[in-house]
Amino acid sequence: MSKKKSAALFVLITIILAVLCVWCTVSFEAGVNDVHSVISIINKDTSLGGGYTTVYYPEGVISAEDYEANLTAFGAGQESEKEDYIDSYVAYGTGAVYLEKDVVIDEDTNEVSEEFKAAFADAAKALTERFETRGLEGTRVEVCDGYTIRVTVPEFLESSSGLFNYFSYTGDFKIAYGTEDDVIIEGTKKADIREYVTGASSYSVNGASYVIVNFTPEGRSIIKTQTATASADSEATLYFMIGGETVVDLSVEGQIDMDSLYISGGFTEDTAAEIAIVIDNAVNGTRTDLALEAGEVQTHETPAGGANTMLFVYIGLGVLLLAMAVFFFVRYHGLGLVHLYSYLTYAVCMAMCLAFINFLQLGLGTLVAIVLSSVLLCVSNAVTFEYAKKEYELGKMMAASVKTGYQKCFWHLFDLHIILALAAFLVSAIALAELQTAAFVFAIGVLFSGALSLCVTRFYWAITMPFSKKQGAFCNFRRGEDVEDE
Amino acid sequence: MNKQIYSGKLLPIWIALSAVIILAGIILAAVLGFNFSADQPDVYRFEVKYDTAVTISETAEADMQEACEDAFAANGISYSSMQTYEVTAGGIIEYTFSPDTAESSLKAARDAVQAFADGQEPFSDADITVVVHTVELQGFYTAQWRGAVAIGVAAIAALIYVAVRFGISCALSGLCGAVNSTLLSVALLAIFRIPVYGYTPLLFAAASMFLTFLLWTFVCAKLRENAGEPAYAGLSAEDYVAACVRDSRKTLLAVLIAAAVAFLLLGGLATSGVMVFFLPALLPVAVSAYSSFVLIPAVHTQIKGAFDRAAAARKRYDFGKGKKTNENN
Repeated sequence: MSKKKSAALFVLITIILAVLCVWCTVSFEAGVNDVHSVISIINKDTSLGGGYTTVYYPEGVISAEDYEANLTAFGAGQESEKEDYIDSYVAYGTGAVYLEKDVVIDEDTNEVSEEFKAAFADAAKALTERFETRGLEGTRVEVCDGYTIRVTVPEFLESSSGLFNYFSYTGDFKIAYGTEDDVIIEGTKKADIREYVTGASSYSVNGASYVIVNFTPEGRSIIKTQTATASADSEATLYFMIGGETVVDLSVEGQIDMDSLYISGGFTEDTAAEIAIVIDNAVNGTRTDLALEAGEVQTHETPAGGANTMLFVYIGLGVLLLAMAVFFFVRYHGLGLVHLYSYLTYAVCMAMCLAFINFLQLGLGTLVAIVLSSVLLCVSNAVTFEYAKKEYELGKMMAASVKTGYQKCFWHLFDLHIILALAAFLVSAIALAELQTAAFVFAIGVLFSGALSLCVTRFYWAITMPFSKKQGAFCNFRRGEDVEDE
Repeated sequence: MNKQIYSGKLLPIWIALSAVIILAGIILAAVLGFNFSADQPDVYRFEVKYDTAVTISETAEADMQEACEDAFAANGISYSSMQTYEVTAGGIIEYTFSPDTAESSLKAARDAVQAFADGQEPFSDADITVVVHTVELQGFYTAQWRGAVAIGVAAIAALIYVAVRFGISCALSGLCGAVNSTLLSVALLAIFRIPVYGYTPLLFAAASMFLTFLLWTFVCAKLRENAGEPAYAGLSAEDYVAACVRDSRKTLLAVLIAAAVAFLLLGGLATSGVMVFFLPALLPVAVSAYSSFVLIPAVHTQIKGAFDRAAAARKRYDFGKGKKTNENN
């Protein structure tokens, strides 16, 4: 490559990398709008970015705060009602919740009834299943004060209150047609709901999101029969209900005869997923009839990992970047610049993937994945440099050394990256939550590492090399003892 | 030294060492479980909730925090973490206490904070609720078993690729190493009762597997590369494996040192919640180092020896047909 061509390419790449690095790291104000850096818009889990919390209160359980508020609401002349109210509740545990005697307490034993205990256990299990299936990193489900359920989800959710609300639906899954009272499919003692419906899932494409309800042949037949008279002129509605509440409805303009019914209704990707999870859980998961009410949403002011968590993480990553650059510049002199460009390309690509791939979040597991794939890139680059160095020691010209060095280590590095990417993609396809995200991030990190170390680094090397008259010295390569210098 | 480590004589010791640790880990994990204290699974939460009368004041929230901390000190209790929340028309300060904290002390602190709030401006004009919650974390069991299955499936798929590219003997040795690394890292977490998050054991198991594959593939590449070299021709399986591990030692050490330094630095510079994750992350690095430098080469010496003997036997039978076999492949 000629010197002029190299210089032009080098300047161009430097400018592109510099712009990308600034775009990734610097937020600033532009007129009335704030321009956010790429790393600032990366979704973070609860340990690194905070989250939202709510408490689900089952029917018959209220918070001490509500109890006190209700008491103070009784005015003068309502002493007897106030006494009745006081008599109807009993403080439980540490006094953080009050239990309604008629609903929760067994009259004979004066303890929480076994029936309520079982119903609450089922409700807690069903909620745990729903949030686990949702798969948001850093989600916590806790049983608080014996009979409330406290849930924490990460901060990046578009609508945490929507999620908390959908997941509070309890009861049997039913389908009604015409009006909400005209139930056409429901579970009975003779036939479980799974005789008609196999489950639900969600699907998003080109900005449109669907809730998909899957029917058995029997369920499909019922829907086909019931909707036989539907037409554009006599439009009717199909109601999908859980415990008497409609979670989604569908305007029917013609006969429906399909195994999987795709329902669109202005859902976002999140709401479609949440509705599908609730329906699927009501069909295939733990059944619960206990009515739950989600309390107010609490917004975390600091991440669970501690205040300034991300600041310290960035400092740590910055120190590592500096240490890596120093090591490569000391060991390989000018090649350190080649590696630095390669690493910055990797860092920009990873930051953009984390920011713009919807389902990725930055958590502690993701950081481990980033560290391991960074190590892989550094070592892969070092291996290629060492192979070229060995060839140079034998007395070859620099261009020939690089070419032969790459030829000798290409398949080693290719196999290494394929093995790791294959394993990581498989883990991400099967696992859930933190491990799934970490494995996916590791997989894309491995792919970037492979592409960079095997192709891009070599290109960077080719465009920087013509600037040096003493190419061996530029790379800190030396001839072997028996070989004369160029 | 290398040759001694990889020789068949010491292999039973390495296997016994791994087996004892893994077995002890499995028993301890079954009996006591892991130490999930980093997740704060069973704790008390001391919650002070207030309305806008407090949040609009510049100093009231800080005063309330001070009052809470005075109440804790007066009752001889100390919290493990503090969190603040914003709610509609108000806020919440929440302190987390270990399950060992005396409930009576917490209740006394609650009464003291409530008394402070009732008798002091601007708190006396505000709606303030002070409560102590008991908390019991629910486990995500589907994520656990699916994670374990995922690691197993990924290991098998990766090793099929290793078998195709480097030979069955390399795949079998890699399988031993991957199983050893994943189980050993999880077992050590259980044995030393290291405080971890709920998802950490699986994540560390996966990290150990990836690191072991990374290191072993470098050795496999060296085994393949050196196979045709005259300098290595005629070496016994033991000598050949020792030579190849020695040749790739710098690369393996570079990977291990870089990973260890990164985890140490991120853990050392981080806040407590991150430190409790990254410092134990040195465990997968250490376990992978043991597997890659000690166990896998020792196992591979035996497997390769057996494969070489079988190849030699085949060669004798195939001698008349003029087939060639490469001793070191």
